[in-house]
Amino acid sequence: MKPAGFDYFRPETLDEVLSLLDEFGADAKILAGGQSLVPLMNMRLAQPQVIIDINDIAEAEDIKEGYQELEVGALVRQRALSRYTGKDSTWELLRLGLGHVGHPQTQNRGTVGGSIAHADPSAELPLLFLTMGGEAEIWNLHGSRKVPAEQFFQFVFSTVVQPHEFLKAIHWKRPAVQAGFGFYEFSRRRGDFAIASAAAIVEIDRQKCLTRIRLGLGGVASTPLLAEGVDKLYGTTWSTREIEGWLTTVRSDLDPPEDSMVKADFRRHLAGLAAAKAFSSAYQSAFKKWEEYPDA
Amino acid sequence: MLKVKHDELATLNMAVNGHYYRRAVESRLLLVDFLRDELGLTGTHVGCEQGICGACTVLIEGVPARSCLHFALSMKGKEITTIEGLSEWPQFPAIAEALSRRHGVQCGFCTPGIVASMITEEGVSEEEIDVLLAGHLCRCTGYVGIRQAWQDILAKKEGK
Repeated sequence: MKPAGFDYFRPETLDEVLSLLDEFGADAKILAGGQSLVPLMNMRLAQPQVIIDINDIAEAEDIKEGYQELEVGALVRQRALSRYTGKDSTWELLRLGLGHVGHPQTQNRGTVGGSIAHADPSAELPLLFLTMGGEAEIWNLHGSRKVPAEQFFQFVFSTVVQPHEFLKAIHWKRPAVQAGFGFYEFSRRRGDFAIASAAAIVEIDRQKCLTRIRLGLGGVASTPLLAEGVDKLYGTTWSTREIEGWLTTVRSDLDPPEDSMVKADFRRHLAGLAAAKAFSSAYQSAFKKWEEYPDA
Repeated sequence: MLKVKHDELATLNMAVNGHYYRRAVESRLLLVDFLRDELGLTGTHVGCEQGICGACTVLIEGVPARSCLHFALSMKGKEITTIEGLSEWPQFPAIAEALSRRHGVQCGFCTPGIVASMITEEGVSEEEIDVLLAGHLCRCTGYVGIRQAWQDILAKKEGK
């Protein structure tokens, strides 16, 4: 099918973007890479009256690495971030997760900010943002605000970004030097959305005791989720019984969606497996870092 | 700032395969339909119109991308290369020969898109071939011939 008609605006500055959003609000959609929006428009599931094409906004194009964070502008293509993260193990979790986002041909155009603003609950970038933590930089005509990842996602395709606001950048929190990372996903074909996915960050101390765990799950609820109850594992070394017990609780607490292809129980089962695989990879990667750099 | 109402036509300038074109288009016109219907470049195929199948893959500023997921107007001032242009590239004869020898083409519907990915993704590993090919649906060949053709080209490049 072909998209319905719309008024097209191609602003050249951030101020122009914000003025247009202020004027048109909920009637407008931001067009960045278009890899999620345009399919919806082609199928007429989305029929925005106004399209604001931000591809000329130079100030949203940069990746800036700071001491505490990686700032990724709204227009940074997924492939560009994938290439950037490939050269530095600090951002390994991003690299692992990005390997599952669509295909190289869609990553060439699809943006990091666009995927996070779209907030598909089974997409990888929202899951990565929640798991790694950080802040979303949101602008409107009167100023800007920063919202932590944990408060950003509200529902399926719904975030705290209001119709008159613009997600200008994602600030990814820099993980600890000794953190280990894991990512695992079940999907029907490479590049498809996940049936269930999991991202994990594990930190251990010199004695190999767990000191910090972040385990995010995708595809199992209306937003990505962070697993709870991790603190009872802190201060203990690896214990398969304890960890399996915790993961069983995490899994049974899930209330995943059901569709004609995937029953809720099956999705819950896969989420548990993905969580276990991501968590154990993250632990192994943290363990290896201590073995390799015991003095760090 | 460029503004185009939904019922207006806007002037679009675009370089396609090294030629400069100027046409009046609606804002909702997709790049793939612009290439086929306005410019007559029917080598680019329309498949799923949702970015899955890869039949409409062209080069946008030298990078493979789906022409069904871009509005023509959004490509104003950009350089687009379709299979008609790629067939003039110096790398093309070797790709065509390898695909032919390995029976990588049957109905040919997916081929223009696949060639766009093959010709630009230089220096890929064998594993990356599969990742890139996953971005193209081929319902005839079972991919084996296409993959062998791509491997042949890489091997030739490395002088094996």
